[in-house]
Amino acid sequence: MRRLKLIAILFLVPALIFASGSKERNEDVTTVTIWHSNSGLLEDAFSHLVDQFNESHEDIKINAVYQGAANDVLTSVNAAALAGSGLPDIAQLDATAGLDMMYAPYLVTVEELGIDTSNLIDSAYAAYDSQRGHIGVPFNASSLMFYYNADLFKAAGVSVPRTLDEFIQVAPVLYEKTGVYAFSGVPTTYELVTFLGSQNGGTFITDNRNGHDGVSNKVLFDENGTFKTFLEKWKALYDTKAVNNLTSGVSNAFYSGQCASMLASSSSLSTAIENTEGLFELGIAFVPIVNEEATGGVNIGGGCLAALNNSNAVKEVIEFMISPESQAYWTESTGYMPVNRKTIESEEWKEFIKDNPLFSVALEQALSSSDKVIGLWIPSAYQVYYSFQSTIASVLTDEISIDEAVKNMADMINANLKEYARQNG
Amino acid sequence: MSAKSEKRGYLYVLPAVVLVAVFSYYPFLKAFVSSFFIENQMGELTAFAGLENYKALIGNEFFIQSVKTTFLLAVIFIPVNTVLTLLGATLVRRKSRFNEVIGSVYIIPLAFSMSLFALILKQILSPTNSIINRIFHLNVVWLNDRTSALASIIILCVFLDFALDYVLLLSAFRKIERNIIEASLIDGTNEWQRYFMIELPLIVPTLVMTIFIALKDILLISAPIMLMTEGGPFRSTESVMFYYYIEAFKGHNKATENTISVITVLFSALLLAVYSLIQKRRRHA
Repeated sequence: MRRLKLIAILFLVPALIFASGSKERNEDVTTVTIWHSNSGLLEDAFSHLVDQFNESHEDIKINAVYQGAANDVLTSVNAAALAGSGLPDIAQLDATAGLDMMYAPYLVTVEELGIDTSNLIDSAYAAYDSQRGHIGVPFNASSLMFYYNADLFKAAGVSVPRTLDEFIQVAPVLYEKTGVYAFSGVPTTYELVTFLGSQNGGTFITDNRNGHDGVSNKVLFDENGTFKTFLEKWKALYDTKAVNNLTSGVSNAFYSGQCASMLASSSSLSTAIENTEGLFELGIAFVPIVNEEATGGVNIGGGCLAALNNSNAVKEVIEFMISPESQAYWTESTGYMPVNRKTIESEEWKEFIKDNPLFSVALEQALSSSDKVIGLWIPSAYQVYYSFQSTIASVLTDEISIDEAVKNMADMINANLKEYARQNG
Repeated sequence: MSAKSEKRGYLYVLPAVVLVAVFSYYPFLKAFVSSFFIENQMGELTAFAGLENYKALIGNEFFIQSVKTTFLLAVIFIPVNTVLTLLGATLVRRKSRFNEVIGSVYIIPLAFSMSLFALILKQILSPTNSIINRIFHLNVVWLNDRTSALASIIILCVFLDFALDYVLLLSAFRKIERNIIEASLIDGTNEWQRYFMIELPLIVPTLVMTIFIALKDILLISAPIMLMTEGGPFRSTESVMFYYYIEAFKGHNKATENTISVITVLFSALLLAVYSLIQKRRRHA
């Protein structure tokens, strides 16, 4: 029995130490915990902002906790909410959180928190608009961009395509003259929000404003023909045989000069510059438009800061993060675009753009985009992402017709929406 | 056994029983009950659903696809793994200095963490800069096509399971009593006869165990797929557990979560019963 007691003591002692530690905190200081998704280069920049805030504030301290990718932050938030304790004060989330946050009882909307948003760029702020108010303020804003290898375009003697029709003309010339694919990748949800959403000056993909005004009941892309219009153009592009249906390692293929262009988030710009330096001249342009009526532009993605606790300290931290100075530092060190209009008007930014012209393209595209083009908030987003990809690939390789593809995707998403309604309705 | 030592015996198994009850049996019972109800995202049971949840699961083409993929993985992986590990253990079963060196090489995979090796393998097979393709002058777009993606998952699994299975089989070979081998030598058997008629039958219980371990690994496979292919290309390499992961953790689909849990536990119990039956019959034979 003595040995048992000894074992029990050995287990209890560390437990006591863990239980009693870390409680020595100054009571005048409010700690604001942020769960964020910034790693590597982004984490350095984010830590800098956090340090800056902590140094300039006596009574509020930020406790920044890295939780993995944006979707992992959401998983952790959902888990903490289910457990009933341990929620952070602020969470950095992306569009995949929209559906959950719209119904989350613990979410504090931007309106409830009372943050001044008058200086925020409209399309960036609109991305987080929901039926109960804005679920967060944009912090790390990005959008889809067309990245191209300027050396290859020059060698082929072609200009950067403005429309998909132009791309269909340009692609075979590129392929013939340079021997590399004109484009690599298979469009999926992210690209489609732009390719479908931009049509007719701004179109919704599902009803209830892409699910922002409550869970969607059905898709709209089958009735309004936007998916068909896009597929016809993309099929014509693929039929030039200058497109490679790569689904993984697309950016590596682009950096190593194995394809002349790709579609990627503007947040990859810093990485792209780093990876192509000394190899070739990198170019960045607006996403080619589907047709002349597709003037809606792109949706603003990236991430937002969502408040999960209503306090003045939380408000102060969020206001600091979207202030013109913080946004200037953040965007210049990461490649995200500033969400604050005052940042863009500042001399510092103008100076920065002069030295780094590529950084202004994403912002120009965002400023000319309609705030009707917004992210898709639907259940089973992950499954939909892969279904779009495989359905489009099957159309390209002639396994199914365009009409079948539209029907299959509409059926699949509608079934998901019905299943979600069955369980949560 | 005295009453006191019996009591102490129960005391020793108590922690394990508590852990299993809290982390295995209770969640299973909860999932089992919930699988017949509508459960919303906050975990509240809102209505009785009967078999609706199971119907929705069976009617989902991606679930059916994941069952097929898991079955395919099992059918390919288990024979490949069994033959390779048996071959490895067979070759070094006699004690010699050379065999000890080779044996140590075989155990090295145990020192790797799975994710580390998966990431290295992913780089080796990277679609654009594949070293394998360069060395063997191949033009395979690994991981971008279903067959090669499945093959790469199986390569990873063999690497991960090899060391453990090898150690088990080797110890089984070495546990064979010398006098049996010696008796057969006196009877004038040759090397092949000794291997196939004496040594192999004697290690069959261990071999069956490694096969069932492999079966369990495939039934529960998710992490290697998460790391190597993320279920792609085009959702073609999703196993049942990976499908469960994306439905439960990415999609918060409670119905799928509960029904797959129940089906997997019941299927595992069935396999365990088959395993016990096989081992029991062998003992009585």
